[in-house]
Amino acid sequence: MTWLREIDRWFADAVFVHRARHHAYALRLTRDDDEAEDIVQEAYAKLFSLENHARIANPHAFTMRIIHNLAVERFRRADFVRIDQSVAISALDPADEDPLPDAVAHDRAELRRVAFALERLPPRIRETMRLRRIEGLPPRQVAEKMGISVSTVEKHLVKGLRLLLQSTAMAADEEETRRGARPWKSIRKREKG
Amino acid sequence: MEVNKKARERLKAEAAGWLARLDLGNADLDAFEAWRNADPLHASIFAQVAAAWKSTGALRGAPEQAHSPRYAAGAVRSRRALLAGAGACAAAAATGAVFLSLGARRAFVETGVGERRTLRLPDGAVAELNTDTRIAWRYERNRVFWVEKGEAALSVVGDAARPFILRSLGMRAFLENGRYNMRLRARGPELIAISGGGRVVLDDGSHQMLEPAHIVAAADGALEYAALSPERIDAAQAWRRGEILLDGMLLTEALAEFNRYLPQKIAVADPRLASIRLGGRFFVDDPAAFLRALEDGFDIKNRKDHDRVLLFVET
Repeated sequence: MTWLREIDRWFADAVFVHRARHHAYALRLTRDDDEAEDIVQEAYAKLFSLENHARIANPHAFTMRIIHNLAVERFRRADFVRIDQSVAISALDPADEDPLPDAVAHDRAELRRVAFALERLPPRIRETMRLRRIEGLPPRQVAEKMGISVSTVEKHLVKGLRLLLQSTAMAADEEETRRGARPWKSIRKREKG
Repeated sequence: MEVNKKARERLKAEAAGWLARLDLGNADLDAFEAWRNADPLHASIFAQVAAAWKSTGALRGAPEQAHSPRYAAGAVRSRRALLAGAGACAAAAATGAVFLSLGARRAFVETGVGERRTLRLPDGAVAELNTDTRIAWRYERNRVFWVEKGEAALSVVGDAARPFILRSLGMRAFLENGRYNMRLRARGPELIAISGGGRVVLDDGSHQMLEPAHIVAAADGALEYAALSPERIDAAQAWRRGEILLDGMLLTEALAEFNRYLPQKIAVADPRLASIRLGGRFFVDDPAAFLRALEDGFDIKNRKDHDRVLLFVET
């Protein structure tokens, strides 16, 4: 698997596992779902243009900082100033975010989300994913077992991956929303002080 | 933002296409690299698809994904074989008492399964014994201390005139004052210098200078030497606080760690479980919490089976 580079693993393990927090944070800064996703994607892309990602001590905090900076940049460029956003941007310092949740609980939750998302895939796509990824059968055997061509296996995998990415992100966002219903409280506190 | 969203979705579809073709072995690798290198956004979106892909592998344990820490997680593979030899005397001896064998002028102390014990040696050195451990010492011209089975933490002090020699299965360590942890694994002894240091010699004559924050091991007779991070040193001493630190080790390795402390061993009934990896902090005297975590986190159930606990998944 030479196509999976060290940076891809690093990204998956140290950054992307926290994607729900990145999205939630960007959303609190921008108040706009699409713009939030846009900023998160821009931040991730920035990680992939770094000289030496391995030297980042805390990849999650680093990513949050990039998200904050990108939000500030956009805010300054904007045609009109949204007052709620200016409050959010000055109040929500990334360093003030909750410490990282327990890595074990995190992994468990992620595993549950993936298992759940797999369950909800269309049956044929789910079966293809299961045979290839969980059973680990070679492509040709997957095709034979299902009575389809290898190129249909490919189509199923593509579709399965996209659906998986979508539904695990959604599930993670929902959990994040349930977990972190407190951003405005901390802002109010800061305003008083 | 509508354009960006569309562009993102298109890129995700492209990335998923690349990944599926790469996995099936019919991708043009040069074309893929060209696509990925064309834009950091491509690289990052591909990495996101790859992360989703990787996560499905975790459902079967994904043994290729994480790497086993070499020392902290080492398995106790043929522990039974090891116990068979020591078993006879262990059974005869009452737990915890100090025995003097006059002929050999050796004193020894042992702990039972689940027991921990601290003792002060004649020269003021302190030895802490982990579960299921047997140590011995003989103080004459030299001070010789044996770890015959199990694990002990040692605090070596004083008396430069009488060298302190720590011994365990095929290993002799001539130690300066300092703190050490010696664990006899199935494959051989492992000595960590938390502070201090010294010279370590194996029976075959190979030797190694030991420095602080380093580990020296005799793995199946071969000498291994490595630096340890503060986290690894902490993990190696967690037992002194009654803790077990699992750092992404295999379930089977985690069970081996836990079983050292348990009269009623935990075993895996379903071979599919063997490759699951675990992290976390548990207490040696609370295996129930560990079993609960397995159930909550991985849907791994357990049931009593005679004198052991079996782990299984419902299908």
